[in-house]
Amino acid sequence: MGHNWIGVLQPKDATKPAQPGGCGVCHTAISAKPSLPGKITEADYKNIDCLICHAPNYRRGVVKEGETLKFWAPNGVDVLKAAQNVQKPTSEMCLRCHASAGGGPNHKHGVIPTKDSDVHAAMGMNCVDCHTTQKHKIAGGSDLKAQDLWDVKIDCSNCHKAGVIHKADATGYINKHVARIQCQTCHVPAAARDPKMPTIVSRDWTKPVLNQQTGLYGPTNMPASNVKPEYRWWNRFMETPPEPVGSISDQKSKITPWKRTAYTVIADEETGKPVYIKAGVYAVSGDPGAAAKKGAEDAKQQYSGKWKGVVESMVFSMNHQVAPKTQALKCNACHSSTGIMDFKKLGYPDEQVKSLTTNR
Amino acid sequence: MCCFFACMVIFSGMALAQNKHEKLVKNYTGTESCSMCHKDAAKEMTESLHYLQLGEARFLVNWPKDKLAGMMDTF
Repeated sequence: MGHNWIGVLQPKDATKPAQPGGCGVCHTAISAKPSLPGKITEADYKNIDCLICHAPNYRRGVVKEGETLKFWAPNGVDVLKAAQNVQKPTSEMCLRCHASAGGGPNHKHGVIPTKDSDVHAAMGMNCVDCHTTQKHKIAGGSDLKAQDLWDVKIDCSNCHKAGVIHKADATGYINKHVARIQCQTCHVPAAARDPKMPTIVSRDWTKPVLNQQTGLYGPTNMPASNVKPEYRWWNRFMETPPEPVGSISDQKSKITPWKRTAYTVIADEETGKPVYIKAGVYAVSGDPGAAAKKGAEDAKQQYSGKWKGVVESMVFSMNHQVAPKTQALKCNACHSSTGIMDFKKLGYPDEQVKSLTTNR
Repeated sequence: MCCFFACMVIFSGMALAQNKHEKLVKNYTGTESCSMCHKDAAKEMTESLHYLQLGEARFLVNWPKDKLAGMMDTF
């Protein structure tokens, strides 16, 4: 989907205030779109908003400076005070962007860590305690398309060492699972476990909805809580469109939980190919056709001018909202004839499926 | 008692860090207000994924070899 980088969205209802728009709202540049990798200039060195990651109680809007738009503290935010209080990023600072990635709170992965939903957040841990940093590069999960620190693997076992985990299980059975099952499979039993923060399971761009509060249009979202994962083999590689890579025969693969979301996107009626829509046009007009026309023009994409909805799906990793151990999956959650794990679909032979679905 | 003194050192250190910026930053005009002292920080940041939004895609198996991937194409 094509976006504006920076803009001001004035709702059709003139009684509603103009609002900051564009992807840049949540990225670290102050004004211009970043130069391409390897083509960084002196101008980029002055285009970093240090405060968005380092200042507590900071937020930014879009302000006009001459003819240029820039992301800056709006009225009511004391930018000097923010600069005087800079510190190592806390979760509050990371989540001011990451919590609402995808257009709303908890919309994408569905596992935004909160004190009510995540044992680590409840302990007061910060994102950077696990997502370690080196010279402003931050380690991330490998389902991301690109990485900052290729050699740093974020893994539960970085802290929870083998030999220490599951000590209460004298049989040792649980630890036998670790070789082929990700910790998250049992310890993140669902997405959006906190009913105060649902995630979305489908989004339909063909059905614009007016937000009465903002006066802007958005797609129709289907919210849901306690969303059960799809379990797939994963060897830390991904395909695109996003699907995990792995199989039962690949010894590097582990059974891993994923949240799947279905998106009905705007596509060219003639070719069926998705069109780059202009998000700002969509937000102001609520007209998918106008957004597709402008988006295709800007992206120089061939477009017949007629559109239709096409369903695409996306999977999201589920690495946060780690449940208290009392809420982790128990043996019979999987090992029963009505268990949540589809062993046949995972590639187990029939005889083994029979054994695996017998109660423990 | 040791814990008490350790906490005192930690908390006074934190307060000192905040006071240090309060004393040093008298006017904030953007990146250059920080990079006056943090000389390498802006350059480091421009080389990061959080700034560039694009990078190599070593974990994508069916992606063109030299094509960068990023966070801009999503639903």
